[in-house]
Amino acid sequence: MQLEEALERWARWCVGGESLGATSIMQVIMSGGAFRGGSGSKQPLIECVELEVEAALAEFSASSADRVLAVDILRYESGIKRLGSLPMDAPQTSRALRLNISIRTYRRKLNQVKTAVELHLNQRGYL
Amino acid sequence: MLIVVFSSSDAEFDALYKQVVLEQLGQVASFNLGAMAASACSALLSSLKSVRTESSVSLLRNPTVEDLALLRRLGAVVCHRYELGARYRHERLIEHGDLFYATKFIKPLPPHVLAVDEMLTEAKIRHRKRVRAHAA
Repeated sequence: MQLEEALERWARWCVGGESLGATSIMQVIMSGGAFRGGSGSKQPLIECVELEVEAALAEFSASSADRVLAVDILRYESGIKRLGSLPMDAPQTSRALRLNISIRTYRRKLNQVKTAVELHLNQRGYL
Repeated sequence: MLIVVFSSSDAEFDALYKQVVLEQLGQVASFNLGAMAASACSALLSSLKSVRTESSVSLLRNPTVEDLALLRRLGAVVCHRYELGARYRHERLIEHGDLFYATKFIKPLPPHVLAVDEMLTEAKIRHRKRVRAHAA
């Protein structure tokens, strides 16, 4: 799996609330996807790439307030969060100026947070 | 918003101007101060004193040393093309805090050299800071 695919799945999970895929048959059974019409309750997935991305972001942003902005930038880029009245497909320069930072700072922060997520997913064996 | 640019050739300035127009959603005007008569130049500079909005960008090209000093006082952001040559250093046109830009990134450039979109947003952020400081 590539980083962009992991981020895409995470973004869909944030917006839609469901994981696109499980990594093991046990997770499929637990999530209720293996049995139709059964009486068992549906369990949320607790091991999936979407949650790992979210964990990586929480870990990254916990260390400093400056990094919270970097995580927010990733959320704006992924279409999870809206930046004021700006449209979802607004160019990066408009987003950067709305945040009162230059486009270079915007891109640097975005790269920082993506690198942190990539490292985290690599350590967990998702990439 | 006033942006002073130093560029050596018309083709090079045109490349910059086109990129600024693409990036800037508002109005963009360009004036070649180096090719204007002194009277016209001073009239233009006095008319620019009231320019405060960032949606309207005035690109002022190759001013003289005296005009540059006036433009700095007016809050213009000064941008130099990277590797313009020794003449600009000798004439003391470059000051601490000026921006450096390149229209083509054909080789790895030092980190202080900005692309045109980066230069434009940096200029806008500086303009905002100046306006805010002026208002306070």
